[in-house]
Amino acid sequence: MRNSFIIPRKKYLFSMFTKVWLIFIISIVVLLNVFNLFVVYKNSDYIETAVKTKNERIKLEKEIDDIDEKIGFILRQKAVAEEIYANNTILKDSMKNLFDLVPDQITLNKIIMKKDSLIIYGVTPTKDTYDFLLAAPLKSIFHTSEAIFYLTDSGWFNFVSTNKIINPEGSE
Amino acid sequence: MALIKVIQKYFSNIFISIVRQNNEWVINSKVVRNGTIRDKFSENFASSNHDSVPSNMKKYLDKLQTDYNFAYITIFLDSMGQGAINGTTATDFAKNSVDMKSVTHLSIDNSWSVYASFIDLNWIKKLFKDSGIDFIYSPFMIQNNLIKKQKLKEKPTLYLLNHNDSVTISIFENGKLLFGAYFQTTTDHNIGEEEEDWENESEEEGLDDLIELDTMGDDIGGIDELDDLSELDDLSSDEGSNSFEDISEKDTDLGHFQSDSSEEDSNLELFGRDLLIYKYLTSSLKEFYQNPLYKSSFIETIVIHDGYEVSSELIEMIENDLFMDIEMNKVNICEIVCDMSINEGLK
Amino acid sequence: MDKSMEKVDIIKLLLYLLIFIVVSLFMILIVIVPNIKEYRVSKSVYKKAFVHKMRVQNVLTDRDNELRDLSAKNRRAINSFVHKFSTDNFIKYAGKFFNEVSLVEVEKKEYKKEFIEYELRVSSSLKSPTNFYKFLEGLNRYENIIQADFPIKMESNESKISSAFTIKVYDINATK
Repeated sequence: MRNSFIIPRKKYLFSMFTKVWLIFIISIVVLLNVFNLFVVYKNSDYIETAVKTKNERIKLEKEIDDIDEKIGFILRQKAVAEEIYANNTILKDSMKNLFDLVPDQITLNKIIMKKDSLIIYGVTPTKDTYDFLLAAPLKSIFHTSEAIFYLTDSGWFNFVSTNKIINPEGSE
Repeated sequence: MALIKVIQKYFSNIFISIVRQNNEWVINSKVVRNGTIRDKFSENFASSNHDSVPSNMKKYLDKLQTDYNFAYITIFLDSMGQGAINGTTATDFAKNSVDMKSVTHLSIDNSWSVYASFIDLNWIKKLFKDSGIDFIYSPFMIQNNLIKKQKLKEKPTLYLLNHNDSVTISIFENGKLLFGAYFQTTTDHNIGEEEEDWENESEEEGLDDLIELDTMGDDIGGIDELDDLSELDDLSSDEGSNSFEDISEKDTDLGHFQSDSSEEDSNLELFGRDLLIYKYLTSSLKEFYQNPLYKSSFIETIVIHDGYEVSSELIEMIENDLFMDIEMNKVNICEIVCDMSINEGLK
Repeated sequence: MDKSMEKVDIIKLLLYLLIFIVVSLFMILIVIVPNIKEYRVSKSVYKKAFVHKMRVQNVLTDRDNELRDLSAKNRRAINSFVHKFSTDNFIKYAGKFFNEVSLVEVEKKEYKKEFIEYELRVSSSLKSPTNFYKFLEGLNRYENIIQADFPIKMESNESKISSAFTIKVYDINATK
């Protein structure tokens, strides 16, 4: 205010018109940029999550493999156990069959059972008793069946019955 | 923002000065860029009415302001309610009978003040409210500017700024104002002024007061000549065309004269006006010498900055009757206002 | 006075409009459109990975259920496998059916890596072999996995039947 009674009006580099347009253009640019950033962020987010998901999936697959292993293990054990149980049952049944087979007249003294042979020591009143009552069923079970008789003082016979099953792969 | 100021000078700035003279608005424009003046042009708008701005002038100003991003409009204040006083404090204003609370004032060099009434300033702001104003200059500031450009005179000197419609008189000593007076020479201003104690106002009320001056003290040499004032009227009618030869070639481009008057008539009118000037001058001097408010010392030199015309008669009168040395300078007030605004706008 | 909002300068208006259109188009075509394409791609990649994982997860759940099922069903067998064999316990068990039980460890005859072989000798006062049957039946429910095997010898003395047979105890450590 050195020479003048009043101070000059404010001077603007840009007219209102220009300012309005500039603000408009800049806002649009900013908006578009914000939108763009959003999209970019989403992109990287998706990719990141996809990678994470992939890794998780791989972990899950490994878990599945582990489980499969365990299942296999259990199945194997189950098979083994069942085989053993079956064998035991078969053994029991064979024994039962054998003893059922023996008629009352014949008395057994000793039995030696092996995998594919059966040796019976016993006493029979007559050979025929043995032949009819024991030898026949034995023959039907075993491949070979022989008996040796020994006469005792009482008039009964001690016999040794040897029975074998021939295995194609080899025996005993 | 200071940032705008830094960038501004690299753009085109237009400085528009509006000066009213002779029922006309004279608009001088200068385009400044990078410290150099790129263009200058001027346009005049006739307007008989001082209270309004002609619509074509408004359009012109609008166009200039839309064409240039940085535009400064400066008005030369020519209303009555303004002046200059020695001193800057409230007491100084009171001593000069100026109501400090109803004026805007500027302190110059911490030693003197220029003032203008709120009424006048608001009036001019209202007049130009559509275009806007950036600077309002008082004629005293114009004078100050002109004075500062010249070599400093230690002895008290009277400076007279002559404009179409006004005369500004100030007495400076060592670059400091001691006395200031502003007179209007045309009476088509009609502002509803309040009753205030203007010494100027009293002096504007025609020549009646001058008769009073005759009765004032006589120890001042030059004033004695006032007794001969009545002779001057005879002088004007006696002399006829001879003494006006120098002026006869002057252009009768003066608004308030009727266009097709003869050279003699116009010269007569000029002289009539000069007479008025002379009266103002002498009354100012008298006031300065007689009023104890002013530190009086004898004034030997008068420097006239003429933005209009002065007749040789006036010069003779001043030299012979008032015993003062005269320095004449022709000035273009419109251009000065424009240049001052350039300095103030881009400083 | 800034009358720029009142009188519209067509040239300036068009210029700014042009700038706006160019800038917007540039941003959309050069910046946004490629990113949108990338978005579609990345989204589909994610979706595929997710679906894949879900499928795998389902398989996992099924297998897991299968495992649980099997584990539950075969609890006894599984426990029997890992249960440490105690000769005392076995002798006690055999004692339920027989008198005079003795258990002797025997060298492995064949290469049967999973088993430890024992010879079990018992004598029973009963003339009928029913407790044999019961013993064998009970073996399947015993706390270890045990197979009774040949050779089996049975001998009848005055009042009791003595027998000897092989017991194969499944030893989980042997397989390791």
